[in-house]
Amino acid sequence: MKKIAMTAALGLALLGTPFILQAAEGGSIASKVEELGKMTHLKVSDMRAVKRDGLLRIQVTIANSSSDKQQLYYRFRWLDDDGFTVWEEEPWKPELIHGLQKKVISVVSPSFKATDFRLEMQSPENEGAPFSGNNAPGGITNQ
Amino acid sequence: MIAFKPQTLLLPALLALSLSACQTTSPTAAGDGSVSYGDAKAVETVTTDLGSTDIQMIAEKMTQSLLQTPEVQTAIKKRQLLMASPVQNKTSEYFDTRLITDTILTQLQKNGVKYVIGGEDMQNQVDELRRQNQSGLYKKSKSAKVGNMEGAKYRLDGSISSIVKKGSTVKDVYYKMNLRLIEIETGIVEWSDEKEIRKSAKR
Amino acid sequence: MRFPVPGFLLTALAASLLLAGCAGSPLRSYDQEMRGTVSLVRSGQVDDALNQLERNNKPLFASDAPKDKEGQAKESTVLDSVNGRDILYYFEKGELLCLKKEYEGSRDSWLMADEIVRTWEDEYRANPTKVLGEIGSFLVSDRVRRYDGQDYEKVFLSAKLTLDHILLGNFDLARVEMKKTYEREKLIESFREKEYDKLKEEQDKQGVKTDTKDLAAKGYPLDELDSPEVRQLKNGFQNAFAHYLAGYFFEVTGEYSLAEPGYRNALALQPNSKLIKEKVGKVGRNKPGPNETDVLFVVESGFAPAWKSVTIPLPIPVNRKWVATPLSFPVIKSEGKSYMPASLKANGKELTVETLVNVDAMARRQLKDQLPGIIGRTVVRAVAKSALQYQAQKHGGAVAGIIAGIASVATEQADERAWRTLPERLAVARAILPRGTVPIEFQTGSGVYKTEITVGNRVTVIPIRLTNGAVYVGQPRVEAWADAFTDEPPPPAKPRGKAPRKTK
Repeated sequence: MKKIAMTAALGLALLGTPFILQAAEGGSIASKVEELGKMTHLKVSDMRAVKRDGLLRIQVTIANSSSDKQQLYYRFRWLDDDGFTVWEEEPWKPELIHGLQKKVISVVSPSFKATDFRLEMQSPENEGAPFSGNNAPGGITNQ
Repeated sequence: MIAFKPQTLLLPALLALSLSACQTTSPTAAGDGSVSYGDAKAVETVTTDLGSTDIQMIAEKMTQSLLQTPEVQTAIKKRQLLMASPVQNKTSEYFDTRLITDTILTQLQKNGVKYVIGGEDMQNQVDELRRQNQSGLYKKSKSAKVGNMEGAKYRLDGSISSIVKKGSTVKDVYYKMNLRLIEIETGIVEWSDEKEIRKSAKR
Repeated sequence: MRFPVPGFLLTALAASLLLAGCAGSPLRSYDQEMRGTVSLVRSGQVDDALNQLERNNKPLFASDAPKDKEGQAKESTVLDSVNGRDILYYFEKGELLCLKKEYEGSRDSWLMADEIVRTWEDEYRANPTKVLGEIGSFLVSDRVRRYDGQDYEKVFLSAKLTLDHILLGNFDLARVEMKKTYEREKLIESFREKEYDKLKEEQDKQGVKTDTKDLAAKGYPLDELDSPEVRQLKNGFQNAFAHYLAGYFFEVTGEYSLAEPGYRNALALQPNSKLIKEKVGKVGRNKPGPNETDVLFVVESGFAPAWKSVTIPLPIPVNRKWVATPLSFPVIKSEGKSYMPASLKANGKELTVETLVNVDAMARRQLKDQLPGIIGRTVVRAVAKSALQYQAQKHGGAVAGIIAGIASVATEQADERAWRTLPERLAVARAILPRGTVPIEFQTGSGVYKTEITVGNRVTVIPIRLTNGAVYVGQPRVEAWADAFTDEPPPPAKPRGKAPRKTK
């Protein structure tokens, strides 16, 4: 079922019409997002994807509902029609989101083979932070 | 099932052994536990110096940006060649910028971009060509001919700079990497992009 | 008010007293010991200088030491650990062997010294609070603390090791060592920053004021630590030559992105250097031709200054009264101004010789930065000791009183330990020269010195040492096949970077 839905969406995408995933549409955003632990303040509020020049372009809006700044770590996983990964593991990327800010993240697939994706998200208040080794977050931040 | 039989016999012995050493199912030969493997893709925040995360992020952003340019897409179709000039390091850190350009070239190559070597690697290439042709040790028909190396159509060039600010309690470092794709024959910059990184640390 | 006297203190002082007579003991007068060695180097007798160094560092039980034909104490790693040869022995021996062009021995000696520095680095990395905790809490003289080397010596050691690796043709090891120099500088920087914070905190707690002006008012020559040359330095440990060497090395090997920070860091430390300025932003512009080499001359002159002790009376509470008590503090004493030629002639070309490192100024800068801490430690120690003496006379009778009295004299001498065969100044000159035998000549302060060098490798460093007497010119190992292309180059020499095995 999933594969058919994806192909249909791609059919649209190839015609140049972006497919827009909205929170209202039965959790279609949720199917693309993997949260490592429960995230209270950061939410994906909008997500769009389109295939242009053979590359998958994605735009994600992350909203911070808290009035404090939040540290986000994210990365994409690139898949083909059959759900296989077509690219090596991406590095985790740090992103600082100010209080009540909506941040737009735009990416382009690193490979022509990618037709689908997953967005991995993590916020350090959760467990299992992707910090290297035993190094606690310490005083160093990336923005 | 039969194949498993000898192993079931061994199992008690193995168990006894492993119990006497330490009770673990992890396939490691650990010492005192002071060394461990980490996630190569994890966010590294040990110091404000340029680190693995910065290199990976810069390379990824540049690759994604490069792949979208029509020149690179044409280069893939027409098998036009790329090369990387040394990226200038304008920071005060001993940081080999080839780490970045090598990663970018490798990722482009996975998408079908062909590139030629330059710089330090060139010496090895020339040595090997000479060896095959001048030493008299190789069969004429099975040795690489001189004069067939191909020149690149485009080259990558750029620089990385930093601004370091130090207060009594805070250190703030701003890095900016700039990369350009230049058509060698004309000198026209066909593409350029930047990646900025800000890191700060409390003392 | 009573000053507490821990019992172990007495024992410790008595023990240090017993050790005072032996060679290898921390209470020896290092300056006196090295004066002879230095003058032997001046008159060109490096072998005798080496013998003297060995004699001064003879194991505690000299008769047991195995001797070889020349009567020299044989290298024995077992004995080394027994007699507790310190880092200074390895510093000086490495330098002497380097002058003798015995670069392998020199490298091995410096690698031993490096291991001691690395022990300190690892201790600090693993447990910074513990290492910092030792500051201000020392009750015995600075002289009996383990000597880890002054900051500038630690950095210099790494730079000197790089030179040995280059002279031996082990370029990969040189590359690793250069990165280590930079990391070492960063580590020392962080250590000193934290130490400064800690010291302030400690002094606020103890109520000890350590104003260097008070010391100067009592006759300490503080203005000697405040010359323009000292003030011009960013700190007492960063070494402009080490960075310039990295710039040179990586430029010649074609790794421009590593050469650039080398020159840039060197310029930050020596902002007026023309030689560095003409390289920043222009790396790789001036390349040698097919049969030429970009040669770096490293001209060292004179000897590092001595650390001496001066006695300054400071008020210390004794029997609840303030009594002016003579306390000793270190001062820097120059070995006399060394001669540095303004130029050097190579293959008929006149090359500018430019000073990059002034060890004398670095030592003064280091002492200047460390002085508040030294004053704090000395005063705290004096307070404790006066209490000890009082208690000993009261309870222990005459014998204990005498021991404590002698111990306070013996221990109250400032730390005189320092790497003395280091040059006073280090300068560089650079030229693109044809491969083969090249004549060079330069002024030595007492006439012209002429000699020939062999230029062969892509990376060629020629060390020259002036001593106001003997002149030493080094010669890097030239690989025969480096000159011209041959079809089957012999396999490169095995890396010899491993530290000699240490037996525990």
